[in-house]
Amino acid sequence: MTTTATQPARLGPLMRLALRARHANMFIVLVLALFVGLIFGGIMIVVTTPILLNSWSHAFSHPGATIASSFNTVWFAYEQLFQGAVVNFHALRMLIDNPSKVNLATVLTPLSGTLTYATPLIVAGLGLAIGFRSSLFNIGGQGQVVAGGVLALLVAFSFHLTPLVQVPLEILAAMLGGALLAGLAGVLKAYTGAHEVIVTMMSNYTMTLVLGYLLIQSLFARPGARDGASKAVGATGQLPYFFSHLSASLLLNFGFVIAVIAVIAVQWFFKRSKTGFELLMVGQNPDAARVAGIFSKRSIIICLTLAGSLLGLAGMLELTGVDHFITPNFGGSYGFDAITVALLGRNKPWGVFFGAIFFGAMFTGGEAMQAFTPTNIQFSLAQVIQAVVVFCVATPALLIEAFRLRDGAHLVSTTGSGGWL
Amino acid sequence: MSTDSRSIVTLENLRSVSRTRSLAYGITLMVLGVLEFVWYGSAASGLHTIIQFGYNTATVWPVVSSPWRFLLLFFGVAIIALALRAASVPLYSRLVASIRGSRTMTALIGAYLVIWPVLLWAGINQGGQLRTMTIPVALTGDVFGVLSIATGAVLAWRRLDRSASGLLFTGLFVFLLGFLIWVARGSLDLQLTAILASAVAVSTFLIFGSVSGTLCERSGVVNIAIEGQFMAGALSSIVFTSALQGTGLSKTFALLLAGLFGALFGWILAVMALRYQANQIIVGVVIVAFCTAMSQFLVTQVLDLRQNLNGSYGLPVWAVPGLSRIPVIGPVLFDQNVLVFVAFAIVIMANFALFRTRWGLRVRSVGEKPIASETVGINVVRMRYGAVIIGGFVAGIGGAGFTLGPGSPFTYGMTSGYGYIALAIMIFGRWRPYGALMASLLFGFTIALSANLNLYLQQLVIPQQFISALPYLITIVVVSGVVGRIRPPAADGVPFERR
Repeated sequence: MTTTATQPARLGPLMRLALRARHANMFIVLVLALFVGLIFGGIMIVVTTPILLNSWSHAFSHPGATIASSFNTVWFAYEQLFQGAVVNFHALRMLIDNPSKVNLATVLTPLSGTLTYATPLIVAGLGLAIGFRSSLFNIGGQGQVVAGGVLALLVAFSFHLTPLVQVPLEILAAMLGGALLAGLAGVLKAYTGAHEVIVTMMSNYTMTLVLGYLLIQSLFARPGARDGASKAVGATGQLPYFFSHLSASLLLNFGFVIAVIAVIAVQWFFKRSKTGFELLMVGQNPDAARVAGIFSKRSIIICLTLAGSLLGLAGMLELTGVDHFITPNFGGSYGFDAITVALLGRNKPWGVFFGAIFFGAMFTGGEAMQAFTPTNIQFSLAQVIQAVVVFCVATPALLIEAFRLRDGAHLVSTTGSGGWL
Repeated sequence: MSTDSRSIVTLENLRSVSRTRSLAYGITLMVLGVLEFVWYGSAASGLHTIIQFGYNTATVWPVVSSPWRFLLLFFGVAIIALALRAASVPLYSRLVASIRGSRTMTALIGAYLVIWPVLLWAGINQGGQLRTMTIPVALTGDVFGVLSIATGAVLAWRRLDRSASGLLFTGLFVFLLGFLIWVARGSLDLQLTAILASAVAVSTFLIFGSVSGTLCERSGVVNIAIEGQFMAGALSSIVFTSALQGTGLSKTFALLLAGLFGALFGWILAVMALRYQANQIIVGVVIVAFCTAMSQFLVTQVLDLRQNLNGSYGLPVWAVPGLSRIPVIGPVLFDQNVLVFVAFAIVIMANFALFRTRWGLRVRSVGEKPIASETVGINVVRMRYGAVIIGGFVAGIGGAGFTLGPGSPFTYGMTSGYGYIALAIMIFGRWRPYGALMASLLFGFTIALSANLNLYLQQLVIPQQFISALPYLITIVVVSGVVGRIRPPAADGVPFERR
């Protein structure tokens, strides 16, 4: 500290930048986390590819070739990951050479896929972040997404109104579904002390089974469907695509706008609203909140209800934006990914937004990686990288110590999980 | 986090808590009884259920194959047991009492010995190859219902403290048994012994998981990563065994390896929670996410291409000589794969370690009041490291039970949330190994029941999905305080900062 403070003029701009980089802030932690995740993923690729593994047996006789072949494989895989998630360079060159609708659609495809996958995840991550901000660990995202999706579907095929009425009605129904399920956990937590982790976890499994039950009932089942799919959402209940005039494979839809609105709304909720402030206070210091006259039972229920309604909304976005019907494994792993998204975004609305886009990128890029690498590196590698990144971001103390970053104390929160009751 | 759990602990408070618990248990039992009376008791009077006991006179232990021999055995055992108990009074406090619940066990075995001759006389068909028994459904429902209501009423009225949880467990078990009898009415034989045996097999994971959770949380660290440790143990053990093709001691070492992988993730949790004082629930969830992704990656990238690394190798089934030939109890408890016996041993060891050794006292003190422990010279962080790593080891071995137990290859998602259920069981068992054992057996029974019920689907009014949801719903009911207020270790989940 003293050296930088007393002799700033003597150091060149590069050196100053390097010194600054050693001061811990969230950006540097994120970069380092991504770096660590990619290194770990690279090691995994090398270890699980037999050819590369064999080449390491001559690591001492031909060190250069060994390292180069491993590095090239890993680099190629990550290149595919990036091109599949953000932009394909080849397609971009084609577009520049020959601007046409088809080429534009090819260039936009990866990004559209990323944002489409990210859309429900943004909203789901926001929902969980609300809980985490007030120290409520709602891990029942999966069940609440399903509940929201089911109720939205019920509205979607029961009514055939104009889109301007139908879509808001679906949104309300979905939010109600998620809110009811999470609110139940909230009521149990507030009045009986049942820990929300277990209640919400169990509600996940229960909702999966309930969904399986509903899909074979005549109310929901599509006649003649082999894969257990439900009836489809009518044309008026679907969210409109942005680029449907370019190509049918560009699935980015109006849901993304709803997600951005949700981000802004949650931002406002925590920054400006009284209830949001109360929730934050309960989360950071429940004793102080009680002394200040905040009714903790009420805030627990409000918090979980809000969180659940956002997760239900995520289910609705998934339903009306992409699939338009429900299958027994509706929602995929959104509920669990949303937990890690919230942790990655450090529970801040815009952090969650970019975290979800990162997840969407890893998902679509991972599929491209699986398709285009010679050894078909499985797309679950992307999830491994994600998990490592989230591990590093959620517990920055490790990175701060490993890379000798300075002044990292403000990033490390030592809040207790508070035990079970 | 409610105000009640923070109120000062006084004798009067504790008494009122245990009385409230007894009242709650009694009311629960009465509700169950009414359900049984109305539901099972209303079956048509002609309906019968044939229970199959899964043994015949050739394989059963000769001593109990006839009522007369059995009576001899019963009275002999009873007299000898009484005499032993009377003689061991001075020893009891030291040796026998160190195994908590030994009296309960004696009572359980005694009850079994009383019930068995009654069953033998009541209507076991002597003609068939396998012993069966025909039970009238409606009468069973009525009897179970009345018994349950009466017990519940006594419990609620007299506020019995000591016998409360035992009676509740028995009541729940009887309720499920009645449900089985009701479901299997009329057509198929009820494979009671097989269902009970699979219940014990299923509860193995739960026992390991909940004991692991108990060890960690007694020291004040919330281990929500049990699910991840299960996956690590399941995957590593089957790959190791398959690589050695199940030869020699490979399965033993596979169990150890599974334990080591569990301990590794326990160590990671400990480092993050103790050294960096991170939020333990977040670390746990992230560890589970990592293990999920990693297992999926390894399965799709490596194991799907090399099936020989993910084979079917089961642990040997060991029939305890003599004991395994007792009817019903024999196949259920003493004719199981080795891991089941390891599970029982670990429960006893964990209980002994936690409540009868210096180490256990220190672990518990660290989990209750770390500052006080620090003051008397206990190294809080080191104690917690030890407990969390040992807990991880136990959970890892439990994970091996998913693959090596039934002898099936590893599939993605095969742990299906048992790691979280184990946490609920730990709460149900009140952070005690024996409580965890009893709760695990009850949950295992529910899970085995839901798995076996597709045999009787045409009888079922309730959709199968709801039966499958039973373990999860019971978990919710359990943690939401039907079992009464529960008190976790005071410093559970609170990072410790040395002053």
